[in-house]
Amino acid sequence: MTNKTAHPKAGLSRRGFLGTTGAFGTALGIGTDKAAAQQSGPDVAAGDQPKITLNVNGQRRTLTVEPRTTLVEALRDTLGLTGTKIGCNQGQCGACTVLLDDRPVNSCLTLALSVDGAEVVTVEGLADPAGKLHPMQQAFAEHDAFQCGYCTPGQILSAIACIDEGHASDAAEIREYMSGNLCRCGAYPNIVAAVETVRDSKEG
Amino acid sequence: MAQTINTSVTRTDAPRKVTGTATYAADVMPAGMLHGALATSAIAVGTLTAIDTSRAKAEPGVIAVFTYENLPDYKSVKGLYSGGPGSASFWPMEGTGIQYAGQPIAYVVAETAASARRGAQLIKATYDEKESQIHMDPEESFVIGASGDSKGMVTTKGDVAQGLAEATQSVDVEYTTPFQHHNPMEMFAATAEWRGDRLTVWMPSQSVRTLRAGIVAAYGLPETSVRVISPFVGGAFGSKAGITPYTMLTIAVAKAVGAPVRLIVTRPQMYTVATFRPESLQKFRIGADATGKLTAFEHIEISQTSQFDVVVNPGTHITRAMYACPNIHTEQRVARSDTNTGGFMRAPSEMQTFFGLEQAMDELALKLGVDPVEMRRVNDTRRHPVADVPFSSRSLMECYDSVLESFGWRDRNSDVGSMTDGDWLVGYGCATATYPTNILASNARVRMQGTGGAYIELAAHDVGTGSYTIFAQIAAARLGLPVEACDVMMGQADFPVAPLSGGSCTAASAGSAVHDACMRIGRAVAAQISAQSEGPLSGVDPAQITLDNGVLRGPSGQSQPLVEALASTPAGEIEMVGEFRHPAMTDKMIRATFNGGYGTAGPVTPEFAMFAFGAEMAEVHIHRWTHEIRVPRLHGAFAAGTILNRKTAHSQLMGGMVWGVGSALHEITETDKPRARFLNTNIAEYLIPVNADIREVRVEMLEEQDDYVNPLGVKGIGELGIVGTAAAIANAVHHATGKRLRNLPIRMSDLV
Amino acid sequence: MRNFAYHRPRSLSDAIDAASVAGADILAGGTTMVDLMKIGVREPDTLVDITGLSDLEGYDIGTDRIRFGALARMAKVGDDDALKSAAPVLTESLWKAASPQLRHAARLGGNIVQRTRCPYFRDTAFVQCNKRAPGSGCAALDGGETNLHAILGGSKACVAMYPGDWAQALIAFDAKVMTQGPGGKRTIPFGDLHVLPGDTPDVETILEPGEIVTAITVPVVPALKASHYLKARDRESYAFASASAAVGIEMDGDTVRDARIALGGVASVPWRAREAEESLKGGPLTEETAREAGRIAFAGAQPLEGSAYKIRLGADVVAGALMTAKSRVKGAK
Repeated sequence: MTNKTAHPKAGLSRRGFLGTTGAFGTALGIGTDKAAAQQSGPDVAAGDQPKITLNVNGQRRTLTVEPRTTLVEALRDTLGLTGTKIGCNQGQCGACTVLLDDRPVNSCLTLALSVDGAEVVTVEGLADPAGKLHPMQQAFAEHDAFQCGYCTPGQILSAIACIDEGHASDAAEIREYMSGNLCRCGAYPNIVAAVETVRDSKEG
Repeated sequence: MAQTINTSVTRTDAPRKVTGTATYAADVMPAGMLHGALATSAIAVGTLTAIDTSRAKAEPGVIAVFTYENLPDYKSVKGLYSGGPGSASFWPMEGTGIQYAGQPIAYVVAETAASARRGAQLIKATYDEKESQIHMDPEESFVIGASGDSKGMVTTKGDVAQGLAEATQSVDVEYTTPFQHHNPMEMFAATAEWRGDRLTVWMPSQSVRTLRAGIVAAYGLPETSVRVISPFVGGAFGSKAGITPYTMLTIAVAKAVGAPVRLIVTRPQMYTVATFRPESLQKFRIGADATGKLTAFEHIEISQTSQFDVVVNPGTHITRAMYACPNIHTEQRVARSDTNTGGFMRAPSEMQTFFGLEQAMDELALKLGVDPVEMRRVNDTRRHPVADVPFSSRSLMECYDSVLESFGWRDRNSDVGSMTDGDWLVGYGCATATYPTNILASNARVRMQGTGGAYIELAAHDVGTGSYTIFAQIAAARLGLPVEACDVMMGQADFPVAPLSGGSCTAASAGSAVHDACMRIGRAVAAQISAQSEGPLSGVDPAQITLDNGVLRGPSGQSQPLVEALASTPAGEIEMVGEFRHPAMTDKMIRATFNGGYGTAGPVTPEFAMFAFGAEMAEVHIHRWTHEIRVPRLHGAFAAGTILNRKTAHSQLMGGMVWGVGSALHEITETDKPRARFLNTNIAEYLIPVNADIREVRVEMLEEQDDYVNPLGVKGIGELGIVGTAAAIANAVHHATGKRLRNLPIRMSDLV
Repeated sequence: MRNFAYHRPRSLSDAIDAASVAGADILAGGTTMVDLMKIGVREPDTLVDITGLSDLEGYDIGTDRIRFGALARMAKVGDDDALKSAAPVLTESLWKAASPQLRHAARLGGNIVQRTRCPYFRDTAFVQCNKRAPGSGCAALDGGETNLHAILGGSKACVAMYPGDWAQALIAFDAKVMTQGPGGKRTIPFGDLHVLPGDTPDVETILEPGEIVTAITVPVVPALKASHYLKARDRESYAFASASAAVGIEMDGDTVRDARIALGGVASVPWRAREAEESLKGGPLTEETAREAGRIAFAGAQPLEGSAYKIRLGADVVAGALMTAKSRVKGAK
C-alpha cells in the first residue's frame, strides 16, 4: 500500500495472537475459502521452511516451501509435476493456469503458503487412471488446438472452467473467456472449436 | 495401404501435449541440479567499473556468483554474421565492456530458482556510462557488404529513372516497421551437465547440430562428448537457433560448480539476451502505365543492426522477385545502433518488406483507378524478373482468384469510407504473400521392421511445426505402414544431420531425406527378395522393381507388400540412411550444413526460382467512438506445392496469419531513448493477439505440383501466412478511413 | 523475490495489528503484490495474508445501496447477473479488466489500490522514479517515453497513470470506502481515497499503516441502471485501457437529470469529470452534446509527447459511452 512510516503501535506478540484466536474463532464462522478453514499455525519467519499440504489431482501431498515459493514452482520443482508451464512468471500469459479450489488461477502469482490445504487440479489430473483422455484433451487433439503445445495445459484447464462456469454460450463468449491464455502459435480458432465440441457433447 | 500424404492426420505428439507429458527443456531435472539466474546491465553503453556480489552471495541458498572476473572455461563462439554459430559477435561477461542495455553481467547459482533470482536482484553494479542511441539513423546507412562483394545486395536492371519518367502514375513512399520480439511462450532456458569431459545440454533449440558444433569447437572436444537434446520446443520463430551467451555461460557455470545447472531466462530478459526483429525503413519508388503494368521498381531497405554485427535479412531479394518490370533497382542497407544483435524472426525478410511493397502496390493501383487484384494480375510473371529463370511453379493469381471468391471481394464498394456496419466503419484490403523455398542438405535414418513398424531418426526439430507427424506420414506412405507404427525421433544432435528448423525448410529438406531413406529401403529389400528362391518377386531383375506406396512391384504385374517382403528376409529388419542433395546444392553448401551451419540452396538456382505464393484478404472494422481496429475476417489462399498434412498445414498458415494480425496492429517493442533501453519488456504491455482478436480465419490450400523443388514437391509454409497480412490490413484500413498508415503497428492513436 | 515473514490473521483486529507494523504489507489476491515483489519494486518484511477473513467476502445488492465486502472476488462479482441488471457499469468494469485467472484471485479491496503500469516504476534499472524512490527524479519526464502516461492529474514529479477500471465506476457513482485501522473505523468518499502525485507520488492513498479496506458501498441512483463502461484498447481483451469511461445517465423525458462520468487510462488517479457532467444536466443528450461533454472532460488535459492522442480518444470514448448509456434508459428508443 503506501510507504508511509509505521503506526507507533507495537508489533504482534505471540500471547496476543493466541488470545485473538480465542476471542474471534467462532465469529469468523465457516469460511467459503477452504484454505482459510484449514490454515492453522504460528507465524512463519522469513528463513523458515514450513510444510504445507495440498490436495493435488486427488492425492494428498505434503511439501516443504519457503514463504516466497509460488504454487507453480512448488508443483514443478518440488512435486515434479512439470505439466504446468511457466510462460512469463508474472501472471501475464496464463500458461501456468491450474484449478485451485475449482477456480482457474495463475499459479505463478499464487504463494504456495497462502493456499495450504487447497485442492489443486493440474493437467496431469485430467485423464482417468486408465489413461483415457478427458473430453477436453481429446477435443484439443482432434481440432489441432495447439502447435508447439507449451500453452496447452493452461488452455485446457481454462477451457474446462469456461464451460463449467457457463461462459461458453457462443463463440464470442468463449473467445473472451479464453483470452487469459496467450498462444503465440495462433491456434485460437481451433481452441474455440474444441471448446464448442465439448460443450455440445455435454448438452447433447 | 491408405494414402497418408495430403491427409488430416492428428499430430502424433498430440497425446503428449494434451497430457502435459511432452518434455520441454526446463522440465528435465537431472539429479543434483542447481538453479541459475542472470543479472543484466542497467546501462546501454559504457564500462562496468565495479560489481559487488557480496549481498548476492549472502542470500540463503546461493552457492556461487560468477562475473567476468571469476568464470573459468567460459568460451565464446563467433557470431552468425561473422560466419560462426553464435547469435552475436559481442560476447558478454568476457570483460567490462557494456554494449547494450540488458546485457548479462553476472550469473548466480543457487539451490532454488527463487533464491537464484533473488541473488541476481542483489547484484550491485556501477558503471561509467557513455552516450547511447537505441534507434538507427537511416542517414548513416551503408550497403551490406559494401567493403567487398555485395552478393546481390545491390541490383540494377534497366533504368529506373527512365521507367519512372514513362510511368502514367508513380508512388514515392516510405514505410517503417518497429523493433519486434519473438516472444515464444516457452522462455529461453538451458540446462548443462558435465560428467567428466562429457557434456549434456538440454535446451529448446531450432538447430541442435549448430549448438553441438559450436560447443565442441569452443571446448576442443570430440563430437561424441557432447549431447544436445531438444525433443520439444515451446515455439521458436527464429529465436532459438544461434548459440547464445546464456547457453555458453550455463555450460561454463555447470563446469565451475561441478553440478548440473538450469537457467530459465526471465521474460524481461528475453528482450535483450538474444535476437529480435530489427526495426526497418522501406523506401519504394514504383511507376506503372495506365493498365497498371510496372515500368519502374525501386526498393531500398534500411534495417537496424548492432555496433558489432551486420544482420542480413535481404528483403529486397524477395520483393524484386514478385512482379514483372523492365527497370529495377534494389539496395539492401543497414544502419547501426546500440542494441544486441538482432536476427531472424518469422518471415524475417518478408514481413517488413511486404508491408511496404503490398501497400505501395495498393497505393499505385488506387492512383491509377485499377482494381488491386487486377494490378497483381497485370504484373504476374512466369520468370524471375531479375534472375531471369522460370519459377519452378507459381500460382499467385490462382490464389487471388480463389480468395476473392471466398471473401466476396467483388461485393465491396471500393469508395473510401463507403461501407459501414452499425457503429463500425468497414474496409476490405488485399495483399500478396510469398515465401522462398529454401532447401538444405539433410540425412535421415530409417529402420524398418518386418513386424510392421519403423523408426525414423534425424536431427531435425518440431517447434510446433508438426514435423513429428509429417515425417511419420512420409515413412508410412512410402513403406506401407500405419502412421502410428512409425516412430519419429528428432531433436538430438547425435541423430543424422538435418538442417535447422528455420527458413521454412524442414518439411522440404528433411522430409525429402526421409523419403529417400524409404526409397533406399525399397531398393535394398527388392535386391534381397529377388535373390531368394521363393516369393512373388523371386528372380525378377531388382532394377525393374519399384516401390509404390508400400508395395514392391515388378514389371509384369508381380507384387508384394514391402513389409511382407522384409519379413521374409533373413534379418527381417533393415536400416538405411537417406540423403537429400538437391542438384542446385554446391559442395560448400553441403559442407556448411554438416558443420552445423546453414548452407542454403535457393530460392533462386541456375535453373529455377522457387517460391510459395499466396493471396490474403482482410476485412477490418473501425469503431466510430473508440477507434479500435478489429479484423473480423481474414482469408488466405496459398499454393505451396504438396501439402503433407492438411490439418497441421492449416494450423501453420492460420498461425502465420494470426502473427500477421499482431504485426499489423499490436507488436512493437517500445524504447526509452535517453537510456537506450527497451520498455515494454513483458508479455502484457508487448501486445500479441489474444483469442478474442481472432475471429474468422479462412485458409485455403490450392493444389500445386512442383517436381523441381524436391522429390516430395513440398515448399515451406511455416512463415508464408504472415507475409501478406499486415499490408492487407493496412489497405483495408485505408479503404475504411482514407488514412494511409505507413508505420507499424497501426493503432487507435493513428486514427483518432 | 526477497523472502518475507508470513502471518495469517484470523480476525480483523489481528490483521490490523499485524499490518500496522513497519515493513508489513497486506496480501489479499496477490495479483499486484506478488507481481511487484517478483520484480523487486515491493520488498515487505512481512506479508499479512487477510484471505482468511471470510466475513469480508460477501456482497449484497440492496434497493438503496450496494455493499461489497473488500475480499469479494472480482470474478464472482463481475459474473453476477443481478448486479449486471442493477448496475451494468459495475460488472462491465470488472469483467473487462485483466483475465479470468486474475479475476478469480483478485479481490475488490486490492483492485481499487492497484499500482501503475508505468515501465519506469516497474523496472528498477531506471534509477529515476519518484514514486518508487522518493526524490530520485522521473525518467519519463527526463526524455523518456510518455505515450502511456497521465494527461490529467500529473505533476512535475510524476506522470504515472492509474490503470484500474472498477475505480472509475466507483468514483463516478460516489462510492464510499469503509476501513478499519488502528484508529478505529472510518468511511472515505471514494474521490478522497486516492491523492494526486504532487511532490510525493510515493503516497497514493490516504490510508494509514494498518488501515484495511473492509467494504465498498455504492448508493443506488437511477443513473446506475442506465450505465456503461466503455474501454478502448489496441487488442480486444486482456489489456489496460488506452482510454475508458464509466458513465451513467438519468433522463427526465428528453432532459438529462443526472449524468456521471469518470475517465480511465488517462489520469494519475481515478478521475471524475464533473464539469462534463454539469454540461449535460438540464439539456438533451445527443451525439453533439455527448461530444461536447467529452471535450469538456479533457479541457484541462496536459498532453505529454506521444500521449496527445488520448485527449481526442478519451473524449470520443466518453461520447460513445454516453450514447450506450442513453440506450439503456428505461423507455429509450
